Amino acid sequence: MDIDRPSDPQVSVVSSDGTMFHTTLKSILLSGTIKDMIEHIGEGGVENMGAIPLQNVDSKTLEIVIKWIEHHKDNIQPTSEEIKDKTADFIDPWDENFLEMDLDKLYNLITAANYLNIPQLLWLSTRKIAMLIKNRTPQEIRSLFNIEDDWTPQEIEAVQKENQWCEEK
Amino acid sequence: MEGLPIEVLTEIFSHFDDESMWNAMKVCKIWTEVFTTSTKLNERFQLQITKEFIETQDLSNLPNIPIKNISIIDVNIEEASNFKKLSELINTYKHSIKNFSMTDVHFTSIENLKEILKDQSSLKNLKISNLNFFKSKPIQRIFLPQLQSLSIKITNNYVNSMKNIFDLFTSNESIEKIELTAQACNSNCFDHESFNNFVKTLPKFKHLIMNGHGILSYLNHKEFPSKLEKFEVFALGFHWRASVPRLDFLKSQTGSLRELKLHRLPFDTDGGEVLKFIIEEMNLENFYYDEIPLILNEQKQEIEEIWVSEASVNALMEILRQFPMIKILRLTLIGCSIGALHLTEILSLPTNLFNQLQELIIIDNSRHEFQNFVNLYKNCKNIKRLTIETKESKLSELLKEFLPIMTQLEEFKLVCDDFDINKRLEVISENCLSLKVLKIKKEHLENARRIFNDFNDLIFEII
Repeated sequence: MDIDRPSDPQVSVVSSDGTMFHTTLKSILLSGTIKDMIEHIGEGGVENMGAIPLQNVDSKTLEIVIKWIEHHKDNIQPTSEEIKDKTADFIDPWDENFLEMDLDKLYNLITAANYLNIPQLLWLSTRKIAMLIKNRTPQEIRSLFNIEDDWTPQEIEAVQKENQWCEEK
Repeated sequence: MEGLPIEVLTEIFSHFDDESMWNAMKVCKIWTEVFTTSTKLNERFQLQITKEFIETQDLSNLPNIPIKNISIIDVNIEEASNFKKLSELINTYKHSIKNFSMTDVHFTSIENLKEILKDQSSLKNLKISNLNFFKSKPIQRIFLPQLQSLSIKITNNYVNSMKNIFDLFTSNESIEKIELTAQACNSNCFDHESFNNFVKTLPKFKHLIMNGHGILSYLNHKEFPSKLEKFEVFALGFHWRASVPRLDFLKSQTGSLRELKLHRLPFDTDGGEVLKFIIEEMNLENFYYDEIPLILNEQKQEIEEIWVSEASVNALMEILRQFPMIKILRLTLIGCSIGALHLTEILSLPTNLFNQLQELIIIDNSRHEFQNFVNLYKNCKNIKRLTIETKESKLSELLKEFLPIMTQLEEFKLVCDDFDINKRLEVISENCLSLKVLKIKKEHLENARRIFNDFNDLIFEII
C-alpha cells in the first residue's frame, strides 16, 4: 500500500549508551554505513526493522550528528571521490555556525562522521580542526591538543635539516 | 587527538597548506609517520620536473615543503639557462630528496650530472635513464653519503655513458643495489672491466639486477669481485657470451646468493645443466622463473603450470624432471625457440618425458616454417586438453602432427583463421572421438555444429 506509506518514514537509532533517537529515513541515508545496512535489509523492511544500534557513537555526539543530517537531508551530497578534489571555497554559514563547539565534541564528531561514513560532515569537521592548527608553531599545536613532545633534540635537528630552506624563509 | 585513527588524521592533514604541513610534521612522531605513510599526503612531497616546468616555474615560488621524491623527465639542459635553473632548484631540496629519477635528460657533459647531484645528503635511490652526454672526459668522483641503490639505463648510442657513471660513483660505499639496463645493446659494446673495478669499491654491494640482452657480458666470473645475495636477470634466456660461462659464475656465487630470479629459462645447450645446478646445488632460499617461485619445497608441489617461450630443450626437460607436479605446459614459439633451434634434440627425447602433462597449449607465432614436432607430441600420452593458436598456413600441418594424440583429447581449443576451416574441423571430428568440449571462434560455430553432428554431448564454447 504505497499510497499510505509516508514518503520519508521514521527510523530509530540507538547510541552506545542506550539512548534512542528518532529521525527520518532520508536523513539517516546520508550515512554510507547505515545506507549499506538498510540496503541489506531490502525494500519493505524499513518500517518493520527495529532501532539501529550504533555502538561507536555516544548519545551527545549522535544528537549533533542527527541535527546535521536532518538539516542537510534534502541537499545533494558529494561523494567521497568528489570531496577529494574539493577546495575550501564556500562554506555554508549554517555549517560554520554548527561547527562552533569545543575540541572534545569536535573530535567525537569527526570520529562519528568517519564511522558513519558521512563524507561531507567528515570534510567539514576535519577542515575545522585543520583551521585551528593553521598558523601555529609545533609547540602551540602540542599544547592545544595535549600532545607529548616525543622528539629527542638530535631527532628534531635532523627533521629541521631536511627542510632548512623552508626554515630560513 | 591520540584517539583519532590514522585515516582521520590523514583527512585533517589534507586540508593543510605547505607551511602548516611542515609545522605539523614537527609536532610528534606519529604525525610525521602519518605524513610519510599516507599516499594521499605523500603526493605533496613529490616534484615532477618537465620541460615546461623548467621554462615556466618561478624559482621563488617553489613548494615550501621538504620534497622527498623528484623526477626529471625529458629536459634538455644543454642550454645554460635551463641547467642553471635546474641545479638551483635541486639544490633547494638537497637535504630532503630521497628518491631521484632522471629520464631522457640531455646533458652537455657528465660534469653537469655531478653538479646536479652534489651535496645531496639524503639521497637513497637514484635512477638514471637515457642520459645523453655529448662530451665525456675523466672526472672527479661524487660522494653521496646515503646512496643505497643505483639504477642505470642506457640507449644504444651512448654506451660510454655507463662507464662514465661507474667512474662518477666509484667508492660510494653505502651502495647495496645496482640495476643495469641496456635493451638493444650489442654485448661487445661493454667492458666488464670497468664494472668490476667499480663494484670492487663497494663493500656493501649485494643485489644486482640486469635487464636486456647483452648486458650480461658485464659479468666476468673470473674477476667478479662481489659476493651477491640477490641476483635478478631479465634478459633473453639467461644467456651470455660463451667466454663467460654462467655455470662458473653461479658456482662463484654459491654460498652467498640467497635469491635468484630468471625471466627466461636458459636456452643454450648447457641450459639443463645450469638449471640442475641452480635447483640442486645452490641452496637458495628463493628461486623464481618468470615470477613463479620454483625452489621452496612446499610450493614445489603446488606448481601445476609452466610457461616456456625461449628455452633449450634440455632446460625444459630439467624443469619437468624437477617438478613432476607440472600438468600444464604452455609453449610459445617465437623465432629461435624450441623446435626451431633444437629440432634434433626434440627428436631424440626420451619417450616418457611428457607423461606427466595433461594440458598442452601451443602458441606458434614464429616466422619459421612449421618444424617437425611429431616426436614431442606423440609422447604426450596423457594430454586431455589441447590449445592450438597459430597462423593459417601452419594449421593443416600442425593438426597432422597431433594425430597420434588426438584420440584421447577431451577438450580442443582452436584459435586460427583458415579459409579451409571446414576441412580442418573434419580432421578433428574424424580423430578426436572422445571430445567433450570444443572451443572455437564464433564465426566457425555454425559449420562446427554441422560437422560434429554425431557428437551427442559435445559442448561448444565461443572464444
